[in-house]
Amino acid sequence: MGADGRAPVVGSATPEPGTAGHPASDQAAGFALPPISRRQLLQVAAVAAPSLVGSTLLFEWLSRLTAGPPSPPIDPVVARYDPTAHRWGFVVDAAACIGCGQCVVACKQENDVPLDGEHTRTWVERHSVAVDGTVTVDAPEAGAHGFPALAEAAVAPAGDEAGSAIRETYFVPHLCMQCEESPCTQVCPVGATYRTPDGVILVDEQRCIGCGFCILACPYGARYLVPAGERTPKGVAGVADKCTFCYHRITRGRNPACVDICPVGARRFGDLDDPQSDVSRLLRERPSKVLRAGLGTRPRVHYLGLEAEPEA
Amino acid sequence: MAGLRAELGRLVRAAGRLGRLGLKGGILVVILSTVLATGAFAASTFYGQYSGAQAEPNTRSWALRTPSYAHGCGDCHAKETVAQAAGKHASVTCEVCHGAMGGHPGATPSAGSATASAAVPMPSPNADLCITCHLTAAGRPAALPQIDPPTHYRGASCVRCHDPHAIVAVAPPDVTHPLERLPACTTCHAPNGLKKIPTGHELVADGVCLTCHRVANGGR
Amino acid sequence: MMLRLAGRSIPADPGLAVRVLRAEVVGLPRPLRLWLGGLAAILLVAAVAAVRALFPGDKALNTTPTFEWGLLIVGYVFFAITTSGLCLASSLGTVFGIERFRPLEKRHAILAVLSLCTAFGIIALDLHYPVRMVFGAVFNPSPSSPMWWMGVFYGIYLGCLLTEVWSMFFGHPTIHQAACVASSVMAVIAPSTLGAVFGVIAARPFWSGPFTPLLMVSSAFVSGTALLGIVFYAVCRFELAGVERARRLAVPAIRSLLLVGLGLVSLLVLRQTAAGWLSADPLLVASTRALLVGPLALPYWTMRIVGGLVLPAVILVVPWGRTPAGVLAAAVLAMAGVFTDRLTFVMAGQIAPAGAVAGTVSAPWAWYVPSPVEVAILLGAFALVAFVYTLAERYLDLREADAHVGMSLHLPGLARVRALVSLARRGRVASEPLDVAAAPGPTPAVMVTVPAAAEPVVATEAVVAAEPVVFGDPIPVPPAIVAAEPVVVASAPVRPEP
Repeated sequence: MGADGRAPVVGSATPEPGTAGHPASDQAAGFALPPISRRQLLQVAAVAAPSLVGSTLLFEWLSRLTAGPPSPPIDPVVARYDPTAHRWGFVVDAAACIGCGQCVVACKQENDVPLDGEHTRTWVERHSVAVDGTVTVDAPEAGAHGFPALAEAAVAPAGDEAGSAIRETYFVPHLCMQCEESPCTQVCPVGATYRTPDGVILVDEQRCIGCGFCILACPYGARYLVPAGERTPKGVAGVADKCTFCYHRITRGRNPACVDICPVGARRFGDLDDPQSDVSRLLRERPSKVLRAGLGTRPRVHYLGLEAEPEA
Repeated sequence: MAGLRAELGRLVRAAGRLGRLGLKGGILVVILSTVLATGAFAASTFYGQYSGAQAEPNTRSWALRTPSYAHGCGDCHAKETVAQAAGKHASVTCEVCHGAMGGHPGATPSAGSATASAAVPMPSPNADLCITCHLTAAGRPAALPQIDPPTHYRGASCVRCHDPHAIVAVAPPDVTHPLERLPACTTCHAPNGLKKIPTGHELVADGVCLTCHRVANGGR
Repeated sequence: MMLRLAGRSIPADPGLAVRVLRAEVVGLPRPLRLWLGGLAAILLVAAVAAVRALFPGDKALNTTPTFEWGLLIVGYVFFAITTSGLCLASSLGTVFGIERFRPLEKRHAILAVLSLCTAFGIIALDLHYPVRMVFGAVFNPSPSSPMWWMGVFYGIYLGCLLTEVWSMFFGHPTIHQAACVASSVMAVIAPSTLGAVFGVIAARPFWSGPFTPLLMVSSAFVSGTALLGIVFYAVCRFELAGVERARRLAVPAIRSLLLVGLGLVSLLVLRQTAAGWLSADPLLVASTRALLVGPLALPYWTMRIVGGLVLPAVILVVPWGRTPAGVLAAAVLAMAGVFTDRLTFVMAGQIAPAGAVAGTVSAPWAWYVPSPVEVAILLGAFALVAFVYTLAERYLDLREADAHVGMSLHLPGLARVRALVSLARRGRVASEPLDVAAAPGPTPAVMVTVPAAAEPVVATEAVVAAEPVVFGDPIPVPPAIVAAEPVVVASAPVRPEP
């Protein structure tokens, strides 16, 4: 610092006139932009227009160049499938379910779902209802290998013995409810999960960011993030996955694998618009309910034989 | 003449200027196009197509998966399916026990049955398989036959007594071993205090007991 | 080749850069070197953990389908709302012009940017495909999703904050004022939307409802103010830039703000507890029981209620609360309380599984223990904020920005204000030691701070005379400034050189 107070201020820190940091250019930027001449505008247009065309062409060329092998021939049945002509529904007969877990095994086999109990598209719960209405739930390994002789989790909660005595026990198969007012599709920040016209909610594994919002928003616990491993439904880990009603089967006119495999007919699938279908008939003939109806999600999966279940 | 030459020179210079300008602009265009196209291409390649109706290709990709579980087993395996349809396992489809057979040659009805082979190993029904349904467990309907493996012919294979393809109403000897149908043996052997048949014991005519109880020292 | 950085020319020579860096590190005071070294070590571990967490679907995180949001979400929410708290607190000075909230204003802004960037970093590591998120949010917007709006609002928020910091350090007061107002607005909107992300999840009644955004904003207020309290202590303890004014003004400011915030949060906690305990919704009752008497009770009562609300309030009320150490104690406790609240909030929402038919689930609680990777990333987040902030404190001028003073509402007349502002801006651009400030008061006054060796100068002379010399071209200063206004003669309160 010099003796004169102003001298150091003037010093080397002041940018040279004409350089980028010069106050003059700063001032201009601070208050008003210089007007753009017609000539400059033309120059910009002269470069921008061919660039846009060129980049589009280049993009097309690159896309063709790197196009993968042609997609597999579309199954003629799938090709004829009209998603607007169906309104798929599902009926679970809890009274008939014997808790063998074959549906879980079949689902995992059919869809390359991981084999553990936590990451699963469908599972079977055993509900033990106590005299006082408390429901105890157990589902070892998602119920895939059947159930132990006794409901281990039904060990009564501490309290009065009379109230905690088990009044009734039954099995409740679970899967995605394919809600008509689906929380999952509403909360997805990138629109990666969507509803098809026939009422099946699918996940675009190329779009999903793995945030887990849909998993928490689902009132039925029907979703999971695919863990890295051998079995990934679409070969992509870290994305949300869920029951698709076996979309590749129903578009071929078949039932979902769990429906086909159920030895006691506790899972039924069909078109709710078709009065002759299994599901329409069952829903006409027997009292049914949907799970957590109070949330207003309007599930497409209906339950029979859940009279003992307390309302939530 | 000189005027013309000057005019020509001016033209050439102007052309040169124009050319240089064009060259500059061209290079700029090439660079810009490359950057734009590469960016867009990277975006579309790695992060999916974000234009138009995006759900369509993804829906199709779900629809085009190959089913693992097949149909129409009876086209080739008529004997088993016919017997089964008459029995108590009528509602139990083949793949419940045998597993997914989608890859089984000729499994689909449209394919020729002549090519059928054992490309897919069939799980042999054993006790573990049967008790997924028939283990006594809280919650199972009373109408469903249920067993307690330690007391129900422990160690015996289920199919020794029960033909899974032709389960009929007649039940085999029950869990607690009331051997009503085995008078010949039970004249000497109490139903719940069974002993091994001693060596040299004359085989009785009724061989029901012997399906399970082998004669000691391989007496038979 | 020369690089230009903050008005200085730096040779772009790797060898030289290494030498300069080494000299700089060696030149650090020993405690500072240890502090930075320790933080750097944590950051290194966190970096390894971060790489681990980047593989999609890897088991590096302990989250499960029943417990999908874990420690990283907790960390994200915590840092995101702390950002807002800082802005809310600082807006009292920058937007509403309340003098005593001003001394730490640059620090607010720096910390807010740091905290928000850290929050973004954490969420990127928690997401399995963060880059997809950017593309998806832009090309496939989903306006029905509060998370999409959260991304939009936090994006805007970051833009506002960066503008605020840039204009603050490079002296663009008009832009700065606008950015301050904008970021204060976003400081309410962004955490409210973050609250809405939880608030719309009807499947988890502990999270859902209109009070969640409110809880987020008031928690933000507490954690932001608490962070200021910690910084205030550091300023006093290490006699950092602007310590005098900070000591005089910041204590009452932080005390009142923190007390107001704690009061707000207490009300909301009371509501949450009462509503949850007396609810007819079995899931909500289960979550509340888990929080109050279940597996979450220990952290909840010790860290959240007693340690996070009661103790800090008591400390702030007793005389010790007026000392820097008292403020520090209250701030640290309040901050730990907010963090614990985020942790218990995120856990209580998931602890009662939502999948069951009736919801009256007496099955064992869903449970989650963070993996080492998650813990390392969270510690790294704290270390990152501390590390960068320490560097900022050492290498940036964090005294009150002159630009603010130029915009002070005490100055009547827009033309006059603008003239002062442009002067201040130029002073900042041109030369570091020059400090021009208008003292607040009924009459506008200009104070010029000059380096220690300099002679005392008369501000009129300094201002007027300095123009042509310092800045090259004359500035249009309205004659009123030079001629009519009384000017304070200031011999500098000298800036302590670090």
